[in-house]
Amino acid sequence: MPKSKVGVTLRIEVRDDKGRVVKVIETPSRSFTQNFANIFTASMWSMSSISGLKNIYTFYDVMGNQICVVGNASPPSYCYLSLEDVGILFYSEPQYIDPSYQSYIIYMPGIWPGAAFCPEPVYAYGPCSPISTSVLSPSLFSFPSSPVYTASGWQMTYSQTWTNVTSSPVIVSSVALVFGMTGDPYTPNDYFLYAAIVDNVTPAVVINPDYSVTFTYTLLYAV
Amino acid sequence: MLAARYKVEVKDRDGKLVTVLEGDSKSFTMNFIKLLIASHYNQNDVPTFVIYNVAGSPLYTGYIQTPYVGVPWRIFNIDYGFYGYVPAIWLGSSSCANPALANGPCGSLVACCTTRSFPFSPYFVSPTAPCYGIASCSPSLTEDGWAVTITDQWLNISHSPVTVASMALVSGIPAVSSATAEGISGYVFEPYAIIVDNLPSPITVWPGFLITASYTIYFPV
Repeated sequence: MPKSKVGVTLRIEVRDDKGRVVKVIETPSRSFTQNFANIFTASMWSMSSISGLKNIYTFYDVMGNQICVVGNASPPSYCYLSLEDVGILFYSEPQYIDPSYQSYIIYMPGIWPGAAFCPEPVYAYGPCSPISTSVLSPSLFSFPSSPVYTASGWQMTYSQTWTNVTSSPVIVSSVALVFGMTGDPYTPNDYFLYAAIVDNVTPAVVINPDYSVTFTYTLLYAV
Repeated sequence: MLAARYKVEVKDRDGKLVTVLEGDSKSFTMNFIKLLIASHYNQNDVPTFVIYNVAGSPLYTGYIQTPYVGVPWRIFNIDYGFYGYVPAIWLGSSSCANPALANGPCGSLVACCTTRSFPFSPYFVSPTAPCYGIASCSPSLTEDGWAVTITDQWLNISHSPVTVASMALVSGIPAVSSATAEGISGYVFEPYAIIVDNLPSPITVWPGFLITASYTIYFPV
């Protein structure tokens, strides 16, 4: 079995309106999603291989749309849209996101908060009941810019802070690490949002008005 | 994020299992981590990193210096038969001083390619097999998480015993080898190592013996 030193940690830090830390939760992350696993597997193959092998890879974006990766074959009718292959799966910048997400609750890569627990995070499309950016206002998504070599492995850190801009407390019960992915013929300037990791927050955290919460995922690659 | 396990099996001419080695993979490479990081960015601000292909030749992320990979595309690609190379697990004759900083398996490269100039020839790699017979076509949910297994079988076609001491999971990425103001004028396909491991002890593979090497990558659930 793989050693436990390799894995993912989720840290949640709540700060009050004066910036003081009032709560910290640190827990192993539980759930790479099935969607991530399918996208990863599809990314191992070229368009011609996917066609020749007659494989169809499917996954769901954060809005629950079923996206198919079909090579140059005709996509089945159940596909919301189809890609010929998968080229990028960790896109983290706010630009070039497919316009269809502009009307969604959250519309760029990051660590998204949800108001509800997910019954089965591994099969979730994102955080459950995503919280609107007009309720929790996001800071910029921080993602790796250079290799960090530690005794535990290569460390990749993702972090994002959300501030309660309403006059009511907000409960966060789930979070998701959301990336952009793309492939032909949409590359390079059209990315689709999907959740690579979804976790329930246990116990749920309450974010009072003007308080902020910072979610940090630390991913370790074995060395 | 990623845990990996390796397994190496050697069978004699009669198909009898003579050696099995199995353990936790130690080393995702720095080259892979740099490509992974660069793949988070778009073409306007992708950082410039130097990385090295399996032969030790430099490549660059971004677009400043050739040969470049731009925003790295399909960094886990193990497609069959790219430019005479055989994905995806290559073997070396020596241990690596520091596998995380290695560019591929160390010592002499003994298994990598379809050409006859190497002692090992690919075996049961088939263009018609599901996923060419080298990988899981879809992920499996195991008690350790989502698992994807990649396997290569190599037959010692030489007339001498061959020592194997290191192995690497090798992917290939397209790189622009030359570009001018008018546009891109050349592409190359560059093999690079995602993972490099030393075997716990070197093994000897006799002529006619078959070695099966596999990596299983786990995503925790």
